[in-house]
Amino acid sequence: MSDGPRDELFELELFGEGVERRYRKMRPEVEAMPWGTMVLDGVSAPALIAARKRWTGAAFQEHRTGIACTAALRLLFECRAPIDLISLAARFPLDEAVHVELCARMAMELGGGTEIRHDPDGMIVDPDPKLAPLARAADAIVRFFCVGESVSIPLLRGAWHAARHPLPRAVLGRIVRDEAAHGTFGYSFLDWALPQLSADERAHVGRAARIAIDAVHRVWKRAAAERRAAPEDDSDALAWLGTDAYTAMAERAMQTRVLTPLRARGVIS
Amino acid sequence: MAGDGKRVGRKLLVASLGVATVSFVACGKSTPLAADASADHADDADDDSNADAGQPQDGPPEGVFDAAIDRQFTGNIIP
Repeated sequence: MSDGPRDELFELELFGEGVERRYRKMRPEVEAMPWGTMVLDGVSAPALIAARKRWTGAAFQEHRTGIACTAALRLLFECRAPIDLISLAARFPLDEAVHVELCARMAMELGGGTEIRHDPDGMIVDPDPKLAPLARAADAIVRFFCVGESVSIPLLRGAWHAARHPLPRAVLGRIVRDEAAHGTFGYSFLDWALPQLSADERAHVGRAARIAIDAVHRVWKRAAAERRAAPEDDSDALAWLGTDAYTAMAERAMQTRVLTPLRARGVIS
Repeated sequence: MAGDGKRVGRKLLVASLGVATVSFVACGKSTPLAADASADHADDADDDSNADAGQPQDGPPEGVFDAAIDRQFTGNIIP
C-alpha cells in the first residue's frame, strides 16, 4: 500500500447480458439515439482530438457528479430529510450514470477516449465530519446542487441549442432534461434545512457556497483567457459553442440561478 | 449466464494513451470547519497552487468550447 495519491486511468465498461438489458429498460432513450451517424470527413484532426478530449472530460465530470449525488443521498438519509425529497434525489445517481454513458459513447463515436489520470479517492470534497448531519448535508448540497448544478442548466441549454447534428443534440437534450430537476432540488432542500440550522451553521453553509462560487469563477477566468471563436468548418459535426456566447450565458446563469436565490435565502450577502 | 462464472461485458470507454493527456488534481479531503480557514478560500483565486484544485489539468490552453466543455467547465465543477 502507498500513502500517496493513486494514479489510475479513466476507462469504463458495461457488464452486459441481463444486467445491461435491465438497465436499458430503465432508460430506453439511450439506445434510441442516432448512434453511428456522425460524419467526420470535414473535421480537422486537431478539432477531432479536442472534441474527443472534451467528451471524455465530460464523461469524467459526469462520473464525479455521480459520486457527488451519491454522497448527497447518504447525507439526506443521515439528516432524516423528508422522504419525498430523498426520493427525488435517489433518481440523480442513475441520471448521472446515464450521462456518463452518453458522454463516453460520444467520445468513442469520435474515435475513442483520451487519457485522463486520476485519484479515485479525491474526486469530491466531503463536508467536515465534525459538523452535525443537517449541516453536513447543507454544506454538500449548497456546493453540489445550488451552485454546481444550478449554474450549468442554462449553459447546457445553450450548448443544446448550438448542437445541430441529431446525435449530440439528443445527448445534450437528455442531459438538459435531467439536470433541470437537479438544479431546483438544492433550493428545495435549503428551504427545509435553513430554518433548522444555528447561526454558526448557516454561516458555514454561506462559506461553503462561496468556496463553490469562487471555484467556478476561477475556471471561467482561465477559460476567458483562452478565448477563441467557434470554428465554422467543424461546428455542424462537433457543436462548438464560442467563448463569447459561453461567457455571456455563464455570467447570466451565475447571477440568476445562484447568487440571487442564495441571497434571497440569506445564505450569502 | 448467471452463476456460470463467465461474463461477457464490453468496454464502454477506451482511452488512447498519450492523446491529450489530462491529470486530474484531487480535491481536498473536506470543507474546513473553522471560519477563518474557510474564509481564506475566497482569496485563493490568484494562488496557482490552489487555483484549479479539483479540475483537470493539462498542457497548453485550447480555448474552444464545444457541447461537452460546457459540462466540463460548469455543471460538474464540484469544488
